[in-house]
Amino acid sequence: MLKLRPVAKAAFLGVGLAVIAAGPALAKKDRSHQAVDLDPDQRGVVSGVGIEGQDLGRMADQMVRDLMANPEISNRATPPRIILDSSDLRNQSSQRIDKDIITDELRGKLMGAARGKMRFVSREFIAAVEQERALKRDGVVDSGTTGLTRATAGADYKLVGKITSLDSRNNDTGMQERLTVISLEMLDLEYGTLVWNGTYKIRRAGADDVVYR
Amino acid sequence: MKTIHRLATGIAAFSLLSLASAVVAQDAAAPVDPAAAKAAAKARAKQVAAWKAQYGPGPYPDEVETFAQGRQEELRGYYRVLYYDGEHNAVLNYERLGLLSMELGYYGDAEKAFDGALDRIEAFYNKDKQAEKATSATRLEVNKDFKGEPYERAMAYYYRGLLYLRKGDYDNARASFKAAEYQDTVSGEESFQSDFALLTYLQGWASQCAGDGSQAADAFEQAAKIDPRLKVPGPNDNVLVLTELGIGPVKATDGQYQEKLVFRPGAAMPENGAIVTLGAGKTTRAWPLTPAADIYTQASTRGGRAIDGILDGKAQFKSGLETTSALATTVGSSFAQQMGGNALYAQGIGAALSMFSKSVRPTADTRMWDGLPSSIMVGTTRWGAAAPAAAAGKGKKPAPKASLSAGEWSMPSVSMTYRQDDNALDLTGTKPMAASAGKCGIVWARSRSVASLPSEAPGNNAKIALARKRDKDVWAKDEAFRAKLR
Repeated sequence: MLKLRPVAKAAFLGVGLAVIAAGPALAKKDRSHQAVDLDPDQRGVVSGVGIEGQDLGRMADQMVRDLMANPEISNRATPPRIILDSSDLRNQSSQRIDKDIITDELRGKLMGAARGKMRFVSREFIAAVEQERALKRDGVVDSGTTGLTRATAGADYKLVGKITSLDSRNNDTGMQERLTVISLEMLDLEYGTLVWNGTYKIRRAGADDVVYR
Repeated sequence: MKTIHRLATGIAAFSLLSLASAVVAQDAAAPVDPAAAKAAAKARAKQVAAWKAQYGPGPYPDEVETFAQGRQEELRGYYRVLYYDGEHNAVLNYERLGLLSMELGYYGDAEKAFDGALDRIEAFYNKDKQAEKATSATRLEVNKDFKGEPYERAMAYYYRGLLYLRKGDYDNARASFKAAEYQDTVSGEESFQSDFALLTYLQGWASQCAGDGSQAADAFEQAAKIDPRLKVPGPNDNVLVLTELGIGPVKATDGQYQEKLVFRPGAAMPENGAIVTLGAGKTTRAWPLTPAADIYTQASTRGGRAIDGILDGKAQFKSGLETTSALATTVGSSFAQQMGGNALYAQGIGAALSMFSKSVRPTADTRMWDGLPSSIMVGTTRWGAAAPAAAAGKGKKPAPKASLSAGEWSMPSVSMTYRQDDNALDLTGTKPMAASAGKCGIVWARSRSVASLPSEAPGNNAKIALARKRDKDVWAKDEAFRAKLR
């Protein structure tokens, strides 16, 4: 039989008592599932292998840095006019996605970084512009503070691109993997040349619980 | 079934209570009768106590009903079940609700429902307590939150893809069909991986509508390789027709302890073909649709599931316990008697083992999406090409425009004739969904309606569902789910 010295016995007893006392506290986990505010740039509580909230911010940051470093776009004497919406962003991936969330994030960050070095042309709400122009020209409303122009702004560049993905799975381990590539290009709307290209890759793997495989 | 019946009874009781409250409220203008108010409060407390005994922590019929009242009348039964069941059956309830909404033309409800199902299918359930319980020897598989088998998941993506096509969102339609096909790769049997040719074909269709010619060609070629019946659509085709026939596969259990999940073909229905008729008068066009998918084949060819090994283990353990129990009771008793010992000890051990073996529960989960069809038929055509013919003159037929934009054509009237071999059946089917929101149009119909199905999914275990609600974590998760629904 294992023999212990009195000191060791006391130590064991102390540790045992401490564990018993701390037991309920250790076992008591955070049981609350109330709504909490999460950092949009951090991984969320629900996740899979696709594009997630935190990817959008990182992707936009990288693309903005890339674009601002391109002198053809960011260092022109006259700020170029750019259409940046999702109309020519193609989703060829296997993930359903609202493409606007990508272009909106990118436009927001780019507008902040460009500080007047680029102008952004909105075609999404062109109907609202046309309506206001018609009211001004009909004299229903005055000309506003910026005066009248002959036409709405034409654009020099348009952001185009693709979202593609490659899925793979190991049926033995249940591990799933997806490589998602967001490839954006700045298209010169006069010459048709590409003046910038940026690529953002997300490679993510994970496995669901064994009961779902 | 039991839960929904209980809920219905509860709702009836709630209605009576509401009536009583309304009478009290009507009298509110008059001086308040303290006795009546006290009686109403007492009745309410009694009702809540009764509900607590019946539904555990809830939600109670008054809350469920308040939620359901804001929904379309035909969908309310399904919404009640969705609300009451919480996360446990959310995927299944969403899938069933989505299909019914789609059939009845409530497309907004259908989109949200399928998104709700797919978001859960795509998320990983790691360290999930309910999933852990499903693997425990003494707990049933049905404890886990439902995510469905690969064919069910694929079908959820398929329907979501059709809804995207309806809206003219060809990119997300293609993404949905691609994700649906990916679900098919779960098949353990290598020869059956990615054999759902219709999904590849539909990826091609979405690509063609999106203007991605080369991607479309690749997908059509691949689909034809898997199923040679699927011919490449004409390059200018702009209408896709899909109709679903019969009743889909049924889940059942097999094995000594019902530990094996098996699939059986759904009830046999006479229809095995369909003819679609577009337009009316001189512009009528009718043609037979091509068989494109057999859902029973998809369900039954996936091979083994990882959980099957666990359930097998549970079954062997149970069997071992039963054998040991029998041995302890009979052999042990006679041995003890021969040796002059007390046979009661052996019998006691046998009884204890027998009791323990009864607590081992290897039964497979048979919750299933019961509204799925047995097969799917497909066809495509060009519509709207006749428009420029009048301007051509000189008897020459002009070549149709390669693609027509949304404003240049509209979907014609659609009717479907269901057939058994060459004989037309007296079967109306559902009202076709016919829409065009871009370059392409879609027609989707079913020979069998899901509207006659009960609002609660088959295979649910009401006892487990109720016991599950008593777990505080689960309750909090379900409450968060309901809060999002409201």
